[in-house]
Amino acid sequence: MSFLSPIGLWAFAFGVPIIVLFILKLRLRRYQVPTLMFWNLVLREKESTALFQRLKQWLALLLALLFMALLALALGRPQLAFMEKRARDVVLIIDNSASMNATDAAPSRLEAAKAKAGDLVRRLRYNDRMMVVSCSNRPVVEIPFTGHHRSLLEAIEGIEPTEVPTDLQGAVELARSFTHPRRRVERIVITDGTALLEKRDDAAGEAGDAPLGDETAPPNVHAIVIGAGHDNVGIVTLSVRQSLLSSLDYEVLLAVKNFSDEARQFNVDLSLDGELFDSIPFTLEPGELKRKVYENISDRGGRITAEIDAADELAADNVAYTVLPEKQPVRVRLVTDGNLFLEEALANETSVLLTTVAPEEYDAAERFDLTVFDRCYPAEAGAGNFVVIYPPRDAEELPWHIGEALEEVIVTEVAEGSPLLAYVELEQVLIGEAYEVEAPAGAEVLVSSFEHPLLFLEQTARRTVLFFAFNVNRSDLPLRVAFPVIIANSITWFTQPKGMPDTSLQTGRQLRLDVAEIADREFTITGPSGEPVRIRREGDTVAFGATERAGFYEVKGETLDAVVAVSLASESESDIEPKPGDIGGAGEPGGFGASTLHFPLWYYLVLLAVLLSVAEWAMYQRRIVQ
Amino acid sequence: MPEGILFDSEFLKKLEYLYIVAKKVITGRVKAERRSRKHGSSVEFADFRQYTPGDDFRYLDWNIYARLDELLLKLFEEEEDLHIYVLIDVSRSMLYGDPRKLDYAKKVAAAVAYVGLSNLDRVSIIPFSEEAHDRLPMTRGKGKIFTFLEFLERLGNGGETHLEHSFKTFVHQTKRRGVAVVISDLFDPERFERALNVLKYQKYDLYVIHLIDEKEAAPDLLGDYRLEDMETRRTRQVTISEQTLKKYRAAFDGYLTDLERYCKQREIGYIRTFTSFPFDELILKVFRSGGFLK
Repeated sequence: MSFLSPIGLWAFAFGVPIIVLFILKLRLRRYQVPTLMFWNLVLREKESTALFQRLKQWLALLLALLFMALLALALGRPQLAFMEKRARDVVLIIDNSASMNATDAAPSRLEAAKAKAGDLVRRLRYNDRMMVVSCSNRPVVEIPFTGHHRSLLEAIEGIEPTEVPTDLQGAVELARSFTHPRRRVERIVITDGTALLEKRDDAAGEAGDAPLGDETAPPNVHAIVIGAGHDNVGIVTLSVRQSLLSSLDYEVLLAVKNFSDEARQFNVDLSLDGELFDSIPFTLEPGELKRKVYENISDRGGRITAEIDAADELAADNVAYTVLPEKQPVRVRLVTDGNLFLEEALANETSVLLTTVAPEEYDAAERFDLTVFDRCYPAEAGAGNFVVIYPPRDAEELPWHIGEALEEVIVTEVAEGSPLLAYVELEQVLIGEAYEVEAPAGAEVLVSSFEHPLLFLEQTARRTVLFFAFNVNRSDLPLRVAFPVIIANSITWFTQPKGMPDTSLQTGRQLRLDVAEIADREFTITGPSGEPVRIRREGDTVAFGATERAGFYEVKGETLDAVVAVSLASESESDIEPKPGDIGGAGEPGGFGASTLHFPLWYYLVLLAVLLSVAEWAMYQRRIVQ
Repeated sequence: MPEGILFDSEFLKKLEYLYIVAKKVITGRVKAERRSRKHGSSVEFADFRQYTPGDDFRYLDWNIYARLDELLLKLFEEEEDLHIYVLIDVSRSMLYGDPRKLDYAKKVAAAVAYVGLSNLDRVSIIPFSEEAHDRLPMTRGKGKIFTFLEFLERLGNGGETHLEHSFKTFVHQTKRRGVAVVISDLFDPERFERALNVLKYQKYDLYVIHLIDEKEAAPDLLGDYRLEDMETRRTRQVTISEQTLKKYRAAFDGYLTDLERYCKQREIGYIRTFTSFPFDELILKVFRSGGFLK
């Protein structure tokens, strides 16, 4: 036997005053009486039991000492060896991902899981402890190890549903990290699908109960699967991407899938800023997925909502959100004495507002998104984005050092991976006129002819310049497909919006904003709940992780005003058919709750002491003890 | 008049009062009840007393009547004078109580003696415990009361109670019979029957004045005690509960009942009193109830 509170055993010291008082009691008060004849008459029948009389006194002392001993033992909180061995720490993981909102288990799978968890709590033995962890895509410790049933039940009741896809790996790893040298650790997951775990648990080894103390065996996890149905259709994709044809245009991609066993017919209503702009009928066979792409929905952009009008077991995936960015026209200024190829290439860009000026009309004070200097360069260009094509060597205030003309120019090297050269092949371009130019320090040479840069990108604090060191008009580049692509790449690259969040995000993912070019220090994020949250930037980034609910999240600062759409849009999560895994054992651990003692040992000791006290009182009333 | 601690002037006044009251009572009763056992007359003049109707005219002192116009009767030596023996228990048990039973007994004895002496009876005081101790010899005359008071004042105590042996020694030491007044708590382990029989069978007019302290009748003890017998010095360890007290009271009351019945059956005058009861009222009660001094 061991004691959890050995200091309580000091209560045995109370036996000393008990014995002392008993001895003092033996020293009786003396009292003189005129005669003992009447006392002898009264006590005559007891004379024959003098021995029993003495025994009664010792019986009273014995009862008192026994009572004190029981209480002292109780204060020491004794533990029998077999109780220690059977004591357990239970890590209970409750899946509160989006699929747990399915209503096949009324009122929802999550509520059924919480009910099951409550049952496990009530069946804990007195020396068991439990930790409750909720997990959608990351574990959250709801309550650390405790044996207090009420606290555990309250923690379980407080688990809120989410609309986040499932990822229990982190929670399982957390559970497996708990070990105890003397206590058995049980790990239980209540979920509607553990197939994901199975795939990732290859390193866990064979499943099965790990014998206590065997450190080589993998920690076991028991899965309790909730749910049975899978009657569900859902939106698995709703996203916006740049048009393949024009980088300044956007497309909306919608994908829906039928996860049930029967064909389903339904409509998907699409709204822009709350106004319905399309309703698409779908007929899907079991397991079938269909997609649809929308183009040119709106130049002004807006918030797009897609909603399935069918009733099924999971409502969270019947609605999705995305943000269509506003198409911003790019203001391009072409400074040239005339260049048909350039003018045509720029004019063909639908999002470009082209202004053509003569070199002598150039005004640096006028701001454009991009200025193209065609074979010219002003004395004072100013700051901004520039494409400088083969400026004259003798131009005033030319910031580049231009050397001799190059002869027999061939392209020998083209930089890979540059977005400016995406979808462009320049190796075969014939160049008739080019010169040497020294690329500034830090410039990125994109195309070169041997050691001579032909095209480089220079970025400084005041300007960004794409410099052509060859005469485009004296090459066959304008005749190639590469020419308008380079122009388009350049426009896209030079005018790409900065500081804008991704327009679509999956629930549970972290919303990250690049605010490098924004001076705002603080931002307010307002989600579907309507409660604003203030956050501060950390360097050039603002991060926000509380995206458990689907909907639109507005991000506002002093100058920033953006919207991010958060949707479930998860094929795996919409597939709500329960998948009992085999990561350690199906169902709860064997022998859970079985115990001969539902209360700690001290409880029984105190009960015994109370019964002893009652018995002593009864014996005293009947003069058995005195 | 010398005064003792026990017998102060207040006490003496009470004695006088008792005598007066007693005299009235006795006067109404004695004249028809007192019989003389001695026949014949004596020439020895002893004293005068008032004439009461029924007395013998021959003993009237006519000279005094002629002078004083007062009827007085001459008393001669062998006129009937009562011998009163006051047996007072001086055993150690009589020291119990507040007031002590012994002090109370002394006052009662003094009162009885005073009335007897005032009545020209002869009175003797015999202390006893294990046996009859040295007595105050038979004395007559009211003026001898202080001798009695001094004797009682000096009376020591000690020894255990042996009623039968005490009374036997008394009887053997006493030639003439008379009235025996036993003042005692009667706490004799051998009880009282044989002892009282000794006096009764020896033709004494026996009166018992039984003194009890209230705490003897109803002790207020509870719990564990070591009781010590004041006479025998024996001790006994007891645990006293309510039930024990109840049994004690029953045993004590039973003893009293037995005693009272015994005295009644044998025409022994019996008066029982608590020592908290004023002694003078006790005496009056005795006289008014027709107790001794016939």
